[in-house]
Amino acid sequence: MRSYVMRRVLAAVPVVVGITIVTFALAKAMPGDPFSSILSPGVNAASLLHMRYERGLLDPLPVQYYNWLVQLLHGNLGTSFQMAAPVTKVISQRIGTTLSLDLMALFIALLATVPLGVISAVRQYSVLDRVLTLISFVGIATPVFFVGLLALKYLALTWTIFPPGGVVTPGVTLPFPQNELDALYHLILPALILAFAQAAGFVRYLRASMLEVVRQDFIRTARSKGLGERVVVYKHALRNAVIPLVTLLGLSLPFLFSGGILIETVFTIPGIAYTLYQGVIARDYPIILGITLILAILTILGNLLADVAYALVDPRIRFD
Amino acid sequence: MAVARNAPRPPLRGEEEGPGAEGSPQRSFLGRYARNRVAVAAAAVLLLIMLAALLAPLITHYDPNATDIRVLNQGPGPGHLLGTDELGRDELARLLYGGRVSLAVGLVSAAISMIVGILAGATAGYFGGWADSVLMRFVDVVISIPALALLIVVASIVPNGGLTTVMLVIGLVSWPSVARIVRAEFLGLRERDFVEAERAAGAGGSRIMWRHLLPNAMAPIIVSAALGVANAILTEAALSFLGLGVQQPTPSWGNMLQAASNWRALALYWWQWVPAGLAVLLTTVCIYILGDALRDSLDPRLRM
Amino acid sequence: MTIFQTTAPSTDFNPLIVSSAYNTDIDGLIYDDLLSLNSNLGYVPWMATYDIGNNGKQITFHLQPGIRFQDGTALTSKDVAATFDFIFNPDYPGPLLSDFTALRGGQAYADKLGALIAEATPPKGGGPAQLTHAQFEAKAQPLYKAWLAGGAIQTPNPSTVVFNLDTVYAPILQYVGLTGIEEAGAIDALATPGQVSGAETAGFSTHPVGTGPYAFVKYVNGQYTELKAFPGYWKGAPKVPQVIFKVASQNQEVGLLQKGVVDAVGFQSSQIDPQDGPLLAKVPGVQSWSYPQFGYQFLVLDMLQSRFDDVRVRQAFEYAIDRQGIVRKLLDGQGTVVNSPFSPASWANPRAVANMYPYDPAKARALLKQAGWTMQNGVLTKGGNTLAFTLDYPGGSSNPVRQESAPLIQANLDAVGMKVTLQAVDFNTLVSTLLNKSTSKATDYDAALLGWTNNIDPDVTGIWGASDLYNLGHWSPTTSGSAALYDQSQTLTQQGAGTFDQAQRQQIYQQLARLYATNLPWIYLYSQNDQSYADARFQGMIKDVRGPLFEGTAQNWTAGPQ
Repeated sequence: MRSYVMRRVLAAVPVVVGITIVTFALAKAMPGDPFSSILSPGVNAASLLHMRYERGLLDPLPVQYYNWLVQLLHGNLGTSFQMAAPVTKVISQRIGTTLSLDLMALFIALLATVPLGVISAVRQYSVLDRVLTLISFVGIATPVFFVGLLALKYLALTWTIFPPGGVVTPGVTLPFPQNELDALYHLILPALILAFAQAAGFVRYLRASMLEVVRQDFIRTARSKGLGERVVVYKHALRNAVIPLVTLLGLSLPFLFSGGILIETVFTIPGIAYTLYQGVIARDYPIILGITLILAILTILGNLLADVAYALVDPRIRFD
Repeated sequence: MAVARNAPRPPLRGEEEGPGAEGSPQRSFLGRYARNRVAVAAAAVLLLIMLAALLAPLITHYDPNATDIRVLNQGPGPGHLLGTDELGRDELARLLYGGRVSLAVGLVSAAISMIVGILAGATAGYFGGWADSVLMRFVDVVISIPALALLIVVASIVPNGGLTTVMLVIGLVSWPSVARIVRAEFLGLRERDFVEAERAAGAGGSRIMWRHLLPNAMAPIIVSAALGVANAILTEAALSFLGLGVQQPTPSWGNMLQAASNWRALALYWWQWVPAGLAVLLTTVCIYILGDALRDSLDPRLRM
Repeated sequence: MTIFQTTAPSTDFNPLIVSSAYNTDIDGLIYDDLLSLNSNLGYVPWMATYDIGNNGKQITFHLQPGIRFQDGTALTSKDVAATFDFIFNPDYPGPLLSDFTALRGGQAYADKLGALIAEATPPKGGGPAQLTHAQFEAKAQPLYKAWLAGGAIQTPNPSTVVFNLDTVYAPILQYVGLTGIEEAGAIDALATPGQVSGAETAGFSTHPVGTGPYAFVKYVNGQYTELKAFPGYWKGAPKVPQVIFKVASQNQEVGLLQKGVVDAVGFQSSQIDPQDGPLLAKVPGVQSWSYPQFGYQFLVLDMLQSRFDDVRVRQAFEYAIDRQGIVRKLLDGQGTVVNSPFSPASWANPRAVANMYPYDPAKARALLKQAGWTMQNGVLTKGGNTLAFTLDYPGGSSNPVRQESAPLIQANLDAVGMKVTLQAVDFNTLVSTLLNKSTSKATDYDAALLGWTNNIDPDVTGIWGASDLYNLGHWSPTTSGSAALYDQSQTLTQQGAGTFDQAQRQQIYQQLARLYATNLPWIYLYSQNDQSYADARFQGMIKDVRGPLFEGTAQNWTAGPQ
């Protein structure tokens, strides 16, 4: 097992490098650069050339990528053109927000998924199942940004139950616990919205795989051994039914991140998802590369954890 | 025949045995499907939506792109049944013609992602070893770059593609999840007794993959194909929210729904976003119900 | 007072480096300038009085006594000199050098620096550059020292700064007079040789210190910027103790003002969505005002394509597009149709051209017919050429009114026989396509919608010279129809910038406005007003073209009881 994990980590290195190369190539394939959108009297070709030169944008692309890689080995991700701040600083300031939001959403989603998915499967075709099914379909079918806009208007601005976007109350400095609670309070609504969409999908998958599992031999064997229904469902069936869900969890980080771009945009949350989106629009190459790199590492870790967890819950899978 | 497929299945609590279970595969499938009244209704609604989109010119005489500066933001009334948008275009016409666009985006994108995803996932899951490693590492690369960011980048590289670009781009970023699901199914199935039996009987790799594994993995594939169509429609809407979906003046449900991102429209002009929102919701929910019902009806383990 | 901002500023609040308008809005309260403007946009003394000597080639500023930076340091002429010297530093990472090349030796220095950059740039075909960055530094620094020694900016005593010019260049008064003055000590610390782009992230840039009425407190990532009143402000302590710029998306402006989360919307760069106006006006206890601004929208045609180099065709565009309708409907009446490159707010804008092109499709059709275009297969055709073309415009979240105008313009042009294909393009993609236009071939684009924001000074240098960066439509001796016409446009542009006499400049610019309005190097469309809405308990904001965040005015703001 340990050597498997080691091998996976080593195998991840070329994947990460591959991702940065693909990202770099894609970013550079976009027309324009950080300074090409300047439309301003007084700026002329010479000053633009000087600005590009000072930032190494005139070097050939392989050289630019190599320079970035060398910087990276020194723990430096470059300077954001758009925000004029070191990328490491931008990411460290903002990744916490995105991760809190995503983990909060994932936690809420899982909390709802397990009981609902199991009930839905065990009581297949009951009224409860049908209602849950419909609700989860609506959950998957409603665009995150749309729910976000409606929630923001009605829950935060018409009835002021939640704060009106952002992650802090502006202009006040709060001491330790209040400050964190304030941040939490700001993240609840967006996290709930992300969780709703996420849980809806999870419930469907858990239900589907529960139904698969309860049809299999070993469940029949378990039943025939006279085990109680509760034990059969929760110990034997759920354990196996969770497998596809584990795969899905490994996949959910980029998914949450994509939803994050929308939800962070709607709620003015300065997370890295929104920052990446802004970076792409502004051709902020160091930001695009830096955030993609961090995200790639997180995703690969997530996948690795999913595969390990997969092995732990499914004895049929062996590492070789 | 393989043991597993003939194994009797204990009925779940609350589940009634379908009467079609004894008949031919076709009859039993249709029979089981038809018994699910919700699913039949969903199929009917979906059919209706598709018909309305196809027959748009018969339903409304308005050109969906004809602006009329005299009737901006007009509420529903006799002239414009669903009112007009911020440029005085007829909302009903845009809804109907937009349906064509959104449905096309959904179907084509899903088809692209299914083809690529099944090929990759099946190969990786069945052969394992190097093929699996290489394919899955590539899936990791694609999956690790968030789809929406990838879409944004690609959309700015290929500005001339229009509708085709949107379809291609959505299809090409959504296949990895299909691949992973198919691979997971194949991984589990290839260890099963009936596959061993086939292998022992001398069946070739591709025969086992496509004739035995694929049909057995069909349930999750169908679910994810249905999800794929719906997701593509939703992804187009999300892209539209960021201004990168199907571009004006071509209507799509996604770019009509974008009206909701305007406070004014959200507060005052409900007709500019409620119908498009309902169309997206209804279509995707119906597709989900359909996929779900298909899954139950098609499950090969139910066939005798 | 909490002010709504639609876009977060950059963490670099140094106005010399970052040109983001959202930073400029905030910098206006932190920094003060040598000069100010009256409501007619004439220059008036502010931190300094000034006189112009040596036949317009020398501007002398005399600093007012008792001005202090927010950290307590007194303002001297050294600070002023350091601010502008920094722009010439080879390591200066900002875009402003070209504004100051009229200073003594400035153009020669910029040319030499440009030549060095060319040598330090790897050739297109591959291979290493002639100069490494270190070699570039080693050659550039002596150039800079030599320029400094040339005496372009002199400080004879702590309260006097002298700017020497090579040529009379009127816009220099804006560049020198309306730039925030920074502290010499801080700039010297930034301008260390070899510190490539270190200036952007230096403590000084992220924690700015100026002589303005409000001091920087903090910027919370993408959320808000907090400023507090500077009690030692030389014009008197500001009365509103705290100003916060809160970032939120445009679609929330109505809700946030209603709920009192923000006190003001529509200040300067964070323009309101014009159709939100009626809703904002209904917010209880709100005051509103509207004033013209310096930006305008235009449609650019690639005049290298022979179908667009006929002035009658371009005039037909002006008649065919219902610009009045766009202003009335899409801008809710809060804007003006423009026919010349001078903003309606400027003294250079002639009233004479205001109604030059009424909406008149029949006239457009007549002009096109006169130019030899006839309808064939539903589109205007002339000798194998057709008026079927693609109109690009920035999509995404860029300027929603402009995006809405595209289908209207398409329909208007269709009505006179042109077949327009709309294409929404990412902003950066579009602008880089237009700016990297080839000067010889005509295939990069057909037509595009864009906006342009003028300086306060009406100078149009750099836009319609044949080799200018921003000459998007390729206005040139050949495309303009006659070399004499083109030459006249260039001469007038030079003359307009070549005198400080405003009356004389006004006359020149009116001539130029008529020339451009008649010959249309760009198809001028409309200019949107700036509309501001603020809680009525706040008073004292200026309500004219300078905008409520104009330098040195916030100390007059007052806040009534809540």
